[in-house]
Amino acid sequence: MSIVANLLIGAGLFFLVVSTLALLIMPDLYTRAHAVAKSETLALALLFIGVLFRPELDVPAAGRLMFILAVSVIANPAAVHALLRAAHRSGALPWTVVDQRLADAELGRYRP
Amino acid sequence: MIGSYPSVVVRVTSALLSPFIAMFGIYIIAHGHYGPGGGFAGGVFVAVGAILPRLTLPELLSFRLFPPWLAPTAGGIGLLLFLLVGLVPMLAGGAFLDYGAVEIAGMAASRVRYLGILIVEIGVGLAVFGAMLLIFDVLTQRDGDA
Amino acid sequence: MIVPLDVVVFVILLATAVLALQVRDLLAAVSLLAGYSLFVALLFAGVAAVDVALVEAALGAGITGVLFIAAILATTRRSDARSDPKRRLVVLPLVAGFVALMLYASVDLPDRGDPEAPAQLGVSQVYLADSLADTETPNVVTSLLADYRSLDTLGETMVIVTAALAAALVLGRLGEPASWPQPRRGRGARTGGDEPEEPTS
Repeated sequence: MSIVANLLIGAGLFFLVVSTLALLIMPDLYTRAHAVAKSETLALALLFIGVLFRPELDVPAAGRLMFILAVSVIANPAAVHALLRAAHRSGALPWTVVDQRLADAELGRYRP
Repeated sequence: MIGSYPSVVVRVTSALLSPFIAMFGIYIIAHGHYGPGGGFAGGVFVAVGAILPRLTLPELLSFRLFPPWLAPTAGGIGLLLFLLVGLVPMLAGGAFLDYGAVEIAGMAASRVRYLGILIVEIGVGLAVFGAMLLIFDVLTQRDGDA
Repeated sequence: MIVPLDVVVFVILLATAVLALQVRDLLAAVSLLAGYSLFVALLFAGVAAVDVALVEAALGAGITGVLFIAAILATTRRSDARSDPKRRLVVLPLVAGFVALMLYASVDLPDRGDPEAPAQLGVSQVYLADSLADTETPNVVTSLLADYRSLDTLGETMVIVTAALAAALVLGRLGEPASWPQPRRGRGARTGGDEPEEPTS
């Protein structure tokens, strides 16, 4: 019981760390949100389900935990969606990899 | 700012969540005796549950749910409720807002004070809800020059 | 309680406060202030003041942000240029001196949670001891707010309702029903263009 809880909480913490790393590494808003929105929601779900397996938890607290989890699973991606939509509407351009050969071809320096 | 938000995800989510937010506010008002909460926090949560449809749902719907006259009316009724509850003990010979002075048959003085706290919290919650919604409505009104 | 966490929260609070003052874009300042309120709520929850933390999280991070954004949409998004550096020469020593004075005074303050602190020795003992017997209310904060000190709460409620009514009187026109938000679409013919989406502002 407790081992399962610790495993799930450890997995949740891992995904939290990964999403924080993504926030630092990723180049622009869209990729950051893409990484954070999913992995953070997953981390929250794993953490809460892990806490649910702890032996100290009684039934009312578990119910409240599940309610919070349901609300955040619904609200978290929707909030990120609204944020990204507003960013896109206000003209934030996504980060793109410049294909060096294509750029050279446009500049007339590359002949295939 | 107010009006239908042009994204179906946001509209559905806020329509799904706002009743629960308002219900959570009512729960906080009613549960203030036993846990954290009370009129101020509960009133703010109910106001959030009213403002979220204003921000995202079509105006026809959100103003039918929470009509514009509701905000000042709720604020006034809440404050008036508080004042009247304060006046009732004076009729029974006690001091202002001293609910324990009211004698209700079959009820201990502590129970009467318990009920008084509940009514006062409801009044504060109504007043805070009305105040917040009124400020929001006034800030986002269309035809005025504000 | 957990001292390192408190230190981290204080550093974040200082950073968000300074950033909110420095940034030109008022929308960014509003979101920074919302984050500030959230961390203040965390701090309150850390010292076991859950009631205050709840109000701070709901009011500071939620409603205040919405009201500020509504005000920004009604006015302007960019703040004016910074004040001239001469004024800063006067203000900065004043603020620094005030902070130093407060730090000097805070040395004599009792520790957090000290049972011998003067604030703990007065009537609060009576309230803590008698709340359950007097009002059947286990949460002492509620019985304090709504029973023992209900006159204060009445004053606060009056202040809030008065503030909202003053805002309505200044910004709106209560006498004309047409100035209220109407549930019909085609009314905004006079203001015209800002009815369809204006996502950038």
